[in-house]
Amino acid sequence: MASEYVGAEERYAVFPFYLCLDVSQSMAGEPIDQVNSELPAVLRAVGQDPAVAEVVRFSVVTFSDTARTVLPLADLALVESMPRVEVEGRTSYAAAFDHLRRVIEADYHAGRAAGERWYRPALLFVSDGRPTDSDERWREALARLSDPAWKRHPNVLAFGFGEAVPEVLAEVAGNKANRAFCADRDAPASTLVPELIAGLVQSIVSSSASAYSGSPQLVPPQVPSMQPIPVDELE
Amino acid sequence: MLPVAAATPTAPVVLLDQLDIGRLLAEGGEGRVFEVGQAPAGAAGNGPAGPGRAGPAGAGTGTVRAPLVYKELRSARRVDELSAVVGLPRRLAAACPDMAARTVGASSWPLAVVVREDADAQAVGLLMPRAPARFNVVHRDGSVRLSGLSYLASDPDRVALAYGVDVPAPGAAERVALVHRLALLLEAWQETPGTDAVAHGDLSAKNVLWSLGPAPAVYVIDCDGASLEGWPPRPRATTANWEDPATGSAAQAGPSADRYSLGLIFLRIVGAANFPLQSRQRAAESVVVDLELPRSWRRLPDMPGLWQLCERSLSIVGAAERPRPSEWVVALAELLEVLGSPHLVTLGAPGPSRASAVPGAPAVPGAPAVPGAPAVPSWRLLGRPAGRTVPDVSVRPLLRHRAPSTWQLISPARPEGARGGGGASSTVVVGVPVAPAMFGLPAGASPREFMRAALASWWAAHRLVGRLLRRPGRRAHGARRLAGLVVVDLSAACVVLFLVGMIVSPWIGL
Repeated sequence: MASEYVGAEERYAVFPFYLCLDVSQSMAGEPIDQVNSELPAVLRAVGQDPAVAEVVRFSVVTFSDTARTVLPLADLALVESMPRVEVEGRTSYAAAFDHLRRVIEADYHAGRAAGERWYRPALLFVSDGRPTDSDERWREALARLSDPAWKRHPNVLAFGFGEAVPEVLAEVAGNKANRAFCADRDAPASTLVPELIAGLVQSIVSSSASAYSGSPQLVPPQVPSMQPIPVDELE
Repeated sequence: MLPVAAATPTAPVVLLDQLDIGRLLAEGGEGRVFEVGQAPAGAAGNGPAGPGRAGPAGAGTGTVRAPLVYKELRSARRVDELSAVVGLPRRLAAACPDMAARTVGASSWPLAVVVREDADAQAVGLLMPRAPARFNVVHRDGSVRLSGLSYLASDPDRVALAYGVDVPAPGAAERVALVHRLALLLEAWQETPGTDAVAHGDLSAKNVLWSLGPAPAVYVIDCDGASLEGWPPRPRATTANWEDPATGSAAQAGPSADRYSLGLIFLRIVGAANFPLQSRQRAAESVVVDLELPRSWRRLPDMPGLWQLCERSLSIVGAAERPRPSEWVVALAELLEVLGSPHLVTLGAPGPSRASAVPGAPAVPGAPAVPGAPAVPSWRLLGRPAGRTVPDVSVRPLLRHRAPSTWQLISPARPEGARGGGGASSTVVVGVPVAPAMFGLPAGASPREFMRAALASWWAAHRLVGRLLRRPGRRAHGARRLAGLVVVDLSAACVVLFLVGMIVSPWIGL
């Protein structure tokens, strides 16, 4: 008879979320202010709910000319405050993808060393512009990040507004249905960013509930101002 | 006072238009919950028992002293079906007033059915009592939340650090008393003679609230989805991680599912651990649960009957023969006795609780014959007497020292400090002292950042010890940590004195 041993000290596998924010110059003004005022909502909704926080790990990465981690992957219950992000330079998707591959790999090994089990990480990629590095460069970096041979490759949800290119975002999200979303160019940041953050929170909370079921799913968010980018049919 | 559309002796019906509906409080799969500014007179029929509230079931006075909430149903339900739900406390009161008191005192049992028009056969919502303020916890950020069981199914040190909420140590008598109160409520719902059984169906961490002040108490919410024996079965959404794997999610959950939840809640709450179980049960033919308990339990006599209760409760193969709540009531009362806290059996408990109120309720096989008798040194650390109660579940109590917690608070990096960092993570740690490398302090951190983190860690460790020493049940842990800190502090002081001496001695000619 097959028996499973359950240690009462055993914990659920965790669901890592990486929020990758574009902080290029085009985000200056209201967009970046809205991001800074709305990010604490993630902390309130996820970190202050014990049942959600237990299975969610959250990190904030920003990118412009370079990319960096402004909130290392953490249990949000133990995070005192969210970081403030600031506008920097251009929009290097390649820097973001290369950084994310390094960080996810390092976080995974750190988590394993601490006894954590991981579900496949989710990347929440938010950009308001087109990549400023060459197509070849960012596509190579994206290929390294989404390489199926790399066991830790993340599932990607991509969100675009402003000058973001829907086709590029769809490619970032692997051309999968309901994984890339884009807002109208004239959608105001004052309503768009709060809706986006609220949608991300709802996505994280719903995904965390599925993690308890043993059949985790990355639940796409509902963002009223954003429409899913249709997936092309291949010729 | 608002008029009642169609008051019956058993179930008040209230018109929606005449409710003063306030702000949205919560939203779930089956509906939305709103504040109600003023309660209609007819809704007082089942007024919750207890100080400052209306009397027990059936003692409607026409006034409501407890705040109410309105639950708007996503899908309309039959008025007669919901009226039967609302009328439960009256039926319990007719059979056994104590059981009615348990229901209205420990649950947000619906008080009235809400309809749009007088003649409606479909209900759009329900009026229910709001959870009393004692079932709230205040987080360190000042936010107020319902005290779900998640706080108890986690490491107490993490809960204290993350939320600023103090909870009893694993294995504490207060935790056992909370499960005892839940067993009392389920006994009322399932075993009141002369009434049909009631099943809540989703006794999850978010639906079972707890309080220890002034006495251990639980408060079950989301009761409008309860199933009544004799009515057509209706599916209800269940909470992942707390559902009965024998029925699955969104299934009709009967009393058997509540009995599963009771066993699971005992293990998770007393063990302070939210361990995964249901997916294992679905995947494997049998599971072995290693329940880790504090070493203070080594003084207790062996209680095979208690572990058998757990096994029978969690069994899928034996789902039809899961133990009745009255068996848990007896077993937990006796456990509280041997834990040296017999006063918690009756402290604040509604009705007779020292033992089951159900006539003929069996004693628990294997339970100590004489409650409070001297401990028998027969505790088994690994394994229990041979012979399984059920073929698919085995519960093994293990005693051990919990490893010291390594939880730490994290503050985000200051943006200006990390500009152009190219990927180095920046974390300021305000927790227990651990070597910087273990914290993930950024490579290349400046000496000032390192000193700031080290000092913050040192100070947080002392604050944590102070908090532990002030908390009953955690003092031994605090004392051990204090001893460690004294060694660290003395060592640091010696190093500093040595360095100062080395620097000063040439100046004074030594």
